[in-house]
Amino acid sequence: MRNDQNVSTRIVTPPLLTVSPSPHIKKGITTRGIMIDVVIALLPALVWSIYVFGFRSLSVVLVSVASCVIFEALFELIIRKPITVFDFSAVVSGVLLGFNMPVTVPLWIPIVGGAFAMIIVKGIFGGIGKNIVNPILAARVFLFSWTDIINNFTAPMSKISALSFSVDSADIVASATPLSSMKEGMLPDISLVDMVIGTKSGCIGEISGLLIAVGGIYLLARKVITWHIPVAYIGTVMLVTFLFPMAGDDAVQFMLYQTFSGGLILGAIFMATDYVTSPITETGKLIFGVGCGLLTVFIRYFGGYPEGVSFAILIMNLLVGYIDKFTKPKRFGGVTKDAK
Amino acid sequence: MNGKKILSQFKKGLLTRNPVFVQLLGMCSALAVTTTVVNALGMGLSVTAVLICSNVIISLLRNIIPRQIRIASYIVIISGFVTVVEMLLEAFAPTISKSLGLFIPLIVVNCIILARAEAYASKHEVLPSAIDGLTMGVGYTVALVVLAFVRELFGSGTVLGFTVFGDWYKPASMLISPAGAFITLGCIIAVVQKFLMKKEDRDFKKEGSEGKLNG
Amino acid sequence: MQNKDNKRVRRPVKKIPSVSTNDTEIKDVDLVEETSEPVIAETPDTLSAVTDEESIEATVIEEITDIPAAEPITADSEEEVGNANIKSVLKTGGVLLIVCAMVTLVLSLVNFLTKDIAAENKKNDRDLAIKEIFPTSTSSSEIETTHGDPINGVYKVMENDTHIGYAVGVVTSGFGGDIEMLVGIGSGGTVSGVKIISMSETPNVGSRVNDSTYLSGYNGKSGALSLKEDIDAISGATISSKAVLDGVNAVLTLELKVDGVTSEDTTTDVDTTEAVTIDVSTPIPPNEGLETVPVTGEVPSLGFDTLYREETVAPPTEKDETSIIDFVTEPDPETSAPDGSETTSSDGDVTEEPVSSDTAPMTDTESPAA
Repeated sequence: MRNDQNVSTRIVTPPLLTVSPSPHIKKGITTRGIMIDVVIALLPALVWSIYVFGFRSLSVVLVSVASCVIFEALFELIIRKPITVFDFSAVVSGVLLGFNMPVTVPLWIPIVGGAFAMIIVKGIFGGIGKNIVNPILAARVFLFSWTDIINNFTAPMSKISALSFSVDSADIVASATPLSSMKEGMLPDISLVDMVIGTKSGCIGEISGLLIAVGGIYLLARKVITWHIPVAYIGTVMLVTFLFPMAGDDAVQFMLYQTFSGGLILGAIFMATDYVTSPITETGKLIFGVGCGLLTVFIRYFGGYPEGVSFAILIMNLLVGYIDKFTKPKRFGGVTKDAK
Repeated sequence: MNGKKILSQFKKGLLTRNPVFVQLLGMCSALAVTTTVVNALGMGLSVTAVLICSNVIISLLRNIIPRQIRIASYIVIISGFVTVVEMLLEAFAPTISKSLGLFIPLIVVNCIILARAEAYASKHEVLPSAIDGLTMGVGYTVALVVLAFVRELFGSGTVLGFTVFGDWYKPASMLISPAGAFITLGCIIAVVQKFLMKKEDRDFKKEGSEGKLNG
Repeated sequence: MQNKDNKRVRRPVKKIPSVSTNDTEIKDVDLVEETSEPVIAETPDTLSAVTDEESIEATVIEEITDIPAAEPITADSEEEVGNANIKSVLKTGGVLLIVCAMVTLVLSLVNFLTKDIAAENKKNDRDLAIKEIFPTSTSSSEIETTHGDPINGVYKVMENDTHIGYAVGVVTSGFGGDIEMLVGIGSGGTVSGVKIISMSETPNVGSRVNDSTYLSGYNGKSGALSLKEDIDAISGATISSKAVLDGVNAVLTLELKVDGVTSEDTTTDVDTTEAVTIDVSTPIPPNEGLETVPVTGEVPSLGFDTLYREETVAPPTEKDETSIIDFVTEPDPETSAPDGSETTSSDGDVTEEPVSSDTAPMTDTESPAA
């Protein structure tokens, strides 16, 4: 195939005249604006994580952001496409990628993860809007290659050095995450209050269900996301864990523990709702949320891993095409089969 | 067949018509056995041996076997050779036989062998068929070795069993898994296709409006 | 591929669905498409790979104009058609028969030549594995058993002429696939070693069960083992650890007794007189073609041997070499409860052999050990 594009544009300047089909209502929403909103929504959780785990959370997240931005720019440079880092989608990816790691990871992990997410999951498929699966979750699953490193959780309030490239294993206070306790059939050692507020061990961004929910409410208010996916997702998980508790005496208690542990709330609000990889229609979103919820619970109960959110969302991402097809709305003005 | 033709055949088998990277044949085995370079070499050489032998026999018998049963006969001949290779490996190279395991009998359904038998050996004389088998087999082996090299190097930190990186390297074990196989193969195919397209552009520019295709 | 006008040569070729047949039978086209789909997908490429550039046109023309009927049905009358049909069927069938016969011939030849070497290799591998569990072993032989999954082989391990243990192959399913192990049962019916032969667990997680320090934690154990009490699980690799445990337990439930008196099995009958296929529980009759025929002991019916045996039978009955010492301390041969002494010292005592070779008189004179 001959490539007629011998001109390489570096930075896109907005055209003076935009030609497009109707409707011609402009609302002032830009990708960048949406992304900034998402970052703002993520800030409370980040601050909390700094409080619990120390400033290393910040350094991991910053390295992750830098890695995503740099690799996206590099890739677009190499394949001679316009550089799109200024729409901040890479920044959001970086923050979320950092949120998905334990604080004890050596700093090369976010770098490798960022490269994988931006180049292989997003870039090769065509850049923003073209990826099939959520790049952050795919990168997180890729990082499972280094299983012992990526599953190295430390207890809250342990002192981890902020700037060192790799964390000294002596500083790590090993502790089982709530999910791994429940996988073995026992309720975690932590009070429910701690679970909700977030004084527990886990990945950087996922420990504080409460603050993530606060961010979610902000996003709802700003109309960045709709309620369908998070409510369907979390609701399904709550329902199933309530009906089939696997540990503890009280079904409600078990349900609450399951809901606030792991990456469920972070995944439901920030990852599953990614525009590119979730269905368009509202019915589709509900189906998507329910599917994610069911898969999460199945993997948590029967699968080899204690946490199922990443895999559940990735699998449902692959089905979004079919969901969209099934929930296509009727075309306006189209004739129904049994029109009288 | 003179030397120039043989060379062009090799170029075809290695690059422009590479069975794995261009024709996308034999991918099951390519993905499964390329966890180490040794395995890839073993597999590639086994397939080459079967390919040459079956091409020769099928070419010899091409006028005798009636149309209707040609596929059945080819399969019988190919599986005969594969079984011979399997028995020889079990006897003389048991370690390779063990690590390749199930994939040696699966050579029978490796598309490359049947495709070359059907497309080439059944229509040409013995010597060209043998050479075609050799070139395609070599192309397959090279493809497998390249894939295995990347996977083994970054996935286990070793090459041919020798640790290459120091202790500081934490191998990306995802590359050893099937998922990593697909990802690596996809990336390599992308690079090869890009290179081939560039080459075609250059050839096209060179040929001008001449209709000859270098292949 | 560029679609330029000067590539006219290739266009008609593209329309032909089948590249690889000289006739245009639709049946054959389907066949080709089924069996080698990529060939079709790459029609122009394969064609150019198939033929020299110069003869593309020739082949094209050949393919277009050469449309012979597949079957030689050119006859006018039905009878001729019938004859021609039979002839063609005979021809096709006959050729296929000959091809298959020749291939079979070659295969049986190669098999004949290589079969022994291959069996030898397998045996060597097994011996090597057994040697890691029983460092002093010299040979081993397979015993036919009636056990099915997960057991896949019971091997009697000998050291020179002494029966020092059993190696049992067992396959269980781990996290990433099957785990194949060899569990050694030494004297006293306790584990004398566990060797993992093959597994596909997650590297650095499940694969850490394949560590000699970890596996040596099984040594000396017997009975029904459980995680945490008898052996730790590797942190983060519970499933893999449990798989290994299940395998060891499966072997321990066989309750193999290593002694000279071959063991008792809870599931199969004891046939003491003659055994063509040898159950683990059966005392091994002498002269059954085993590699390890004891030096002195043999057919129980010989008066001399029986006498000889009875003299020596009392002392070290249910034990092997180490029981010589036990003989001194424990005159009662029945109290040969497992005492954890799984290491076998190589006494090679002569008095052991008749004991190991035949147990018929012993089981008659003493009630079988529990």
